[in-house]
Amino acid sequence: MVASRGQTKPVRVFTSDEYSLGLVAGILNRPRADIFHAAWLEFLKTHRVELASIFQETQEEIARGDLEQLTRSAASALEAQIDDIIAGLPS
Amino acid sequence: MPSEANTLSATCRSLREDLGFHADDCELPIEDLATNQFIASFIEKRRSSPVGQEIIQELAPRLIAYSLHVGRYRAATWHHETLAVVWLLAAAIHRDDSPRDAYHYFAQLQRAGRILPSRDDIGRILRDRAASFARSLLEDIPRLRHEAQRHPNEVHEAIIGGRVRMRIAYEPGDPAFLTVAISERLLPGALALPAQWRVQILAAFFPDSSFENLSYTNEIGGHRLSHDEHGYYDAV
Repeated sequence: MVASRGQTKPVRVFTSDEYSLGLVAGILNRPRADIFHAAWLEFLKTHRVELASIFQETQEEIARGDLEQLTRSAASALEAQIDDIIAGLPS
Repeated sequence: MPSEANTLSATCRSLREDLGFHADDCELPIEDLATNQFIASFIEKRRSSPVGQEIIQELAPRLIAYSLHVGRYRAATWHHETLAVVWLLAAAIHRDDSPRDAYHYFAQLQRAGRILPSRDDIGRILRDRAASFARSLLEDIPRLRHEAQRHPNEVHEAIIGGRVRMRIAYEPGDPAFLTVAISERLLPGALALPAQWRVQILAAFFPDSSFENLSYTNEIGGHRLSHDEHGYYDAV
């Protein structure tokens, strides 16, 4: 993976990540921006594969008229929201 | 396609302990329990307005719940704006100056951490909404796509599953293009559209496309998208 040499902008990272970012950049003798860029591309690639899989599975479920599986898939996406909703209840 | 509205629901605790329902009844839509006079009154009053006129002082300021009067009974209802649900939280008989009064009981429940909806209560709401959304993928979106093709170069607005606002435009040609703009905010309430739902919507609109071929756009029908919309298009 080749890091771009485009323009840069300041970004905020967690202190703990900043330490490991500096550590890896130092070991590889590359700028921190290059390491961050490579990590971000990897993140996008991973999630694109995951989303493409959901896309294709949904197409197949719709073609089959599989309401049960569509409902299961849609419900699983909402599970992640429950924790946030519970955390937001008046204490 | 139902329009956006608050959902009415009761906590399972209140149904079982306060109103004498069986645990299995918690899984039913609230309308199915309306043979109970209390539930019928809750539906009638809170459907027209999610809040009442009398804040229950015993629960405030931690919880801004409203009193619902049904004969000698009082109930505590709460508009859970984030989730767009009006909850029936508790019900009991109103007895002036008695330690067994409804409002004392509500305060006891609050102190015990038992008055608010549980994880199961919230999960039930979300499962119902997922089922409604899934039905829309099968029934509403093919119809919306067909409508857009019948009326090309027009921007069609729709709400699917009662929760997801979107706009669709079909541009005929060789190739023809379908553009879909999806709001990032679920209606009503304050929850964001899950990323997975957005992908499922796109899969329903583009049954013959691959995910890699979808393109991102910031306009529909020649107009810029609103700040909470994301737009996608592909040849169809």
